[in-house]
Amino acid sequence: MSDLGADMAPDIWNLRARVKRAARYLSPLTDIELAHAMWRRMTGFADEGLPRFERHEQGADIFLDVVSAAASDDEYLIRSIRRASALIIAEQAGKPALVDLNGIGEALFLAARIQAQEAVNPIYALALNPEGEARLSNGESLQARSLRALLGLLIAFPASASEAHRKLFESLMVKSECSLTCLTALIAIFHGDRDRLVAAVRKHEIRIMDDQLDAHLAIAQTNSRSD
Amino acid sequence: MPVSSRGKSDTSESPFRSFWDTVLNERFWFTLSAWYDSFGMGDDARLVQRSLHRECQRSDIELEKWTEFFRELMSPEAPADPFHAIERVLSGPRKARYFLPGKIIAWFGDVCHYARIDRFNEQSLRFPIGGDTLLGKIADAIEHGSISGSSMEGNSIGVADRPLWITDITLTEEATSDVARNRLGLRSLNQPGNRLVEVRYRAAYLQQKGVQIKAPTVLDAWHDGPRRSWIFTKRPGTASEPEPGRTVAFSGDGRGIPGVIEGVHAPLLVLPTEGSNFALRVLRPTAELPPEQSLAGLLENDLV
Repeated sequence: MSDLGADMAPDIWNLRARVKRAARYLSPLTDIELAHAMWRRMTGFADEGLPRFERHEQGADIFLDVVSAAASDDEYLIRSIRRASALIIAEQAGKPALVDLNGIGEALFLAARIQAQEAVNPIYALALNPEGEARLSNGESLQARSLRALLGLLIAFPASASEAHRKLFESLMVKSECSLTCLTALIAIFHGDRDRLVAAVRKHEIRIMDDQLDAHLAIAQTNSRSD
Repeated sequence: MPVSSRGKSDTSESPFRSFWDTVLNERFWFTLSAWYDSFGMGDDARLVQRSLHRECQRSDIELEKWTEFFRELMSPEAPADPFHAIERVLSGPRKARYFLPGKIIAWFGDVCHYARIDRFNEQSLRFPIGGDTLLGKIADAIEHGSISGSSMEGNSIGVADRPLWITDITLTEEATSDVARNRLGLRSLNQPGNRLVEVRYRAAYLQQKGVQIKAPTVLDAWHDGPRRSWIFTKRPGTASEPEPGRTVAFSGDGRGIPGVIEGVHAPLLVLPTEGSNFALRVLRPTAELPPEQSLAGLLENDLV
């Protein structure tokens, strides 16, 4: 183990080596292998090659840390993790029955957090899954989570926004849980008329607070990728 | 102390054994000791065992639930792996029985919950999910007041079937996430650039909602996933009344020092008009990696 250096000591509690060891484990994996390892972690399984879960740690957190730590010196690994997150979502989106909802929720969170542009279309497909009403552990529907992840990516990559996405947001804006996200997308990304859209939503007796919509629109004013 | 030294633990003289001698008979103890010993001899296992001893020495947990848990744990179908056995009971048909099994504790003053800003947005604010630029905008909006507790209305704080871990107002004057992380012992906040959000609310608000603050127990930690939670360190000492727990803060020597008090309560749904009960504050991003800790150092330190 001497080639690892002092900060790579195998103590399972070695925080300084935690991300480096994970990166070293993940780096040689193919996209498919990486997706498999990520999915296992995001569904709560331990993996010998990855550090133990810490208290309050969620399944996607270690991959976020790896991407964050690798930012300056391993662009290849960052791209691989982005592709793998898209692969996971694409595979899940095609399933008629979604089994591990919280794992899918984690994959959506990760893809949007690490700005995986490749995940835009898989997330769109997932938002159309008939099981989108199923609930994640925070009480949110899978569909609402998908829309938030999709919008986050479209804010970073507005050129990826398509007519199909616009129709999706328009069709779901009258679901109260999705209204703010859809209105934000339709106004900030697709430059829809705010008054007309808000009026259309309110017709369905959905409460839209102007200050809340303002706050969402302010967050969405990122028109170029800078992460 | 049966597990504070590095040698083999002596189960026969342990507080765990003494405690169970009073409530279970010898036949049960035979199975239970096998479960206890199956954790192994590593420092991580010994830390779990130390917390078990401490739970037995204190009065924080509802005795009935504690004994029922172990009776279920000792069923003939229980998996050999001790963590699998715990998981099986906690995810089984009676899992609700073992949720928040601690006794109600007195709580003075406000309650604070700390969470990574990205996870807090994911779970409770529900703005779009995005990268660091988007999170920076959310942080700015919290600082300037355009995102406040009202943004949580209709959403929950905490997730289903998991205890929500809280502390008091000790950290409310701290400006940086580094200091809060180190005092809370949040080892998962591992990289520079992470921000914590402080969510502050009144204990009286919880009372109005019928939500009780309870003493944290090993079962609460295991509800977060048994394998994940051996870091949980049960507060040392004895007390006839239930007390809050105490985090293990990071120290430069790796042995840890007593941190801040902690309690647990059930996740909450923030109803429309209730958002004003929550004050949000965002702390400056972490600038450094957390100080190193060692399991052995922690195990040798009876103060934490």
